[in-house]
Amino acid sequence: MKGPRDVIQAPLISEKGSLLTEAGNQVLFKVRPDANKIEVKKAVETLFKVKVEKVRVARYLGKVRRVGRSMGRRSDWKKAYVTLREGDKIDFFGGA
Amino acid sequence: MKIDVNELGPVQRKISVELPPETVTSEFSRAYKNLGQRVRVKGFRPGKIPRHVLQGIYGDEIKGEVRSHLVEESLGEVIKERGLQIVSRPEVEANELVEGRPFSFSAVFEVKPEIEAKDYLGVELQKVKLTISDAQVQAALGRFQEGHARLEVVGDRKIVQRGDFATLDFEGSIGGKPFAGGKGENYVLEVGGGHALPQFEDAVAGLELGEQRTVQIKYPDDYPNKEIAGKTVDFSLVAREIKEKVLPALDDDFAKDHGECASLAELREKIRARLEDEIKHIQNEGLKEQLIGRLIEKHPITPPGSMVERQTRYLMERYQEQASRQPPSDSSPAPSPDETRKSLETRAARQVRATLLIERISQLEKIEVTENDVRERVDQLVRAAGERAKTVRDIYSRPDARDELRAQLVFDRTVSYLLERAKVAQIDPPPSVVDEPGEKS
Repeated sequence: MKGPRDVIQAPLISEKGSLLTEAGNQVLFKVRPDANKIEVKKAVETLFKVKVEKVRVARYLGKVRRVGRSMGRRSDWKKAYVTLREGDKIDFFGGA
Repeated sequence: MKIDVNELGPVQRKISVELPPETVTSEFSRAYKNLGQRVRVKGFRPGKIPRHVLQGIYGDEIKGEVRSHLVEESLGEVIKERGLQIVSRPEVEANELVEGRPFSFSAVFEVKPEIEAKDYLGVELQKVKLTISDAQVQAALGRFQEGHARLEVVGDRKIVQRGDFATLDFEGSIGGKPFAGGKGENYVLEVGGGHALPQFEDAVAGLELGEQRTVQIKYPDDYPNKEIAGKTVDFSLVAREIKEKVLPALDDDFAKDHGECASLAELREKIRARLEDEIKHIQNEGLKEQLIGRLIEKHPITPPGSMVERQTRYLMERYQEQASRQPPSDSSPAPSPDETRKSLETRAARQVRATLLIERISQLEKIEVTENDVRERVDQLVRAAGERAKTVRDIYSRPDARDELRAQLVFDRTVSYLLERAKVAQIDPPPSVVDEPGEKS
């Protein structure tokens, strides 16, 4: 079984994310491409001690990159939109 | 803004300031706004970074910046308002800075002491009467003559004597092997001039022209050249020429050629005038020194420690520079750094006292120096600097150097002003002072 630290790879801090945090108490994470919503929910709850209402995910396919003759591919990744219970929040700079 | 100024000592002040929360908050927002325009953070367009993100990344830096800004600004304001003349860097002690809370800090620093200058006009001074005697003029003339002496070949003598200038070829070897610097051709040696080893000079004296002679010379153990120190060197010597120092005749022609004077009498007068100038200069310096000493006696001021410290460091630097330029003499062992420092400190304290006192007097007497005066003085210095003129000009284009120069000018002017108004009594010279008027301190 994947531990919570394997599932959550990094917080995503961006303009869009900040906007969503303000509007709907959502936070964004970069997660493992094979993680499902339930795993993300559990991982966030244990790592940040908050209650998760809802998780939405989006798959991002790595872009094809070419260096000279050889072809390469950036790795795929998954973005998770995690909605927190009202009143809970996550401070990326202070704790984790 | 709550301000409290405490006197900790005659020259120490402590300022305590408490700033209201509004000031703190507005200063914080200003800092973040400014920062947001400057930095780039990945995931955000420039200038669109929310404050909490900035706070997360740069929080501590901003705090430090806000603190120093607040301290500087309010301290500057207080100092201006109260007309304090700070001479040291303030030591700030601040409470924790939290946004939306009052911020308080205190700063300790030294100020110029308040001086009540009194009785500075008509200071009683003693001036030593000094005159130039004919003998001194004659001696100076003699030195001048000596300086223009020429070397002339001696025709009627074949043997080198003491006092001659002998042109030599020599070659030295240690145990049959030549060594570096041991060979010389057409080397002019003043026999008995003390420039070479005494034994060497002895060997040269008595040498006949053209004759080759071999001598053995034992070098002392402490000879500077390590290669030959303590060793016995064989020298083969040949004298090529004998010359004699010929002093030019002291007559009107001499005066014309070297002194740019019409006659010897005029040259004499010129030399006398120069010596008198020197004496006057020395007297003047002495009087100034006396004046300052008297004034300091009358005004017990506490000099601020930081000023004394600064002056001491300056003196130390100058002292070290001087010490490094001249090789240490054997006769007087160099004093230990601690001793030097102590004596310099006393001197520095005296100088600081003098500076403060004179400054105060210049204010009372409204002695001022205009920008024009400063410029003139700079021009003078530049002219005097010769090759380094450009460097000097550069230095004095900086405002702090100019201020210093201005202070120096005010100081000089004030001292002359006081000297003019001092009561100077002429006293007879003690016998020892008269001997060496030419020597400058």
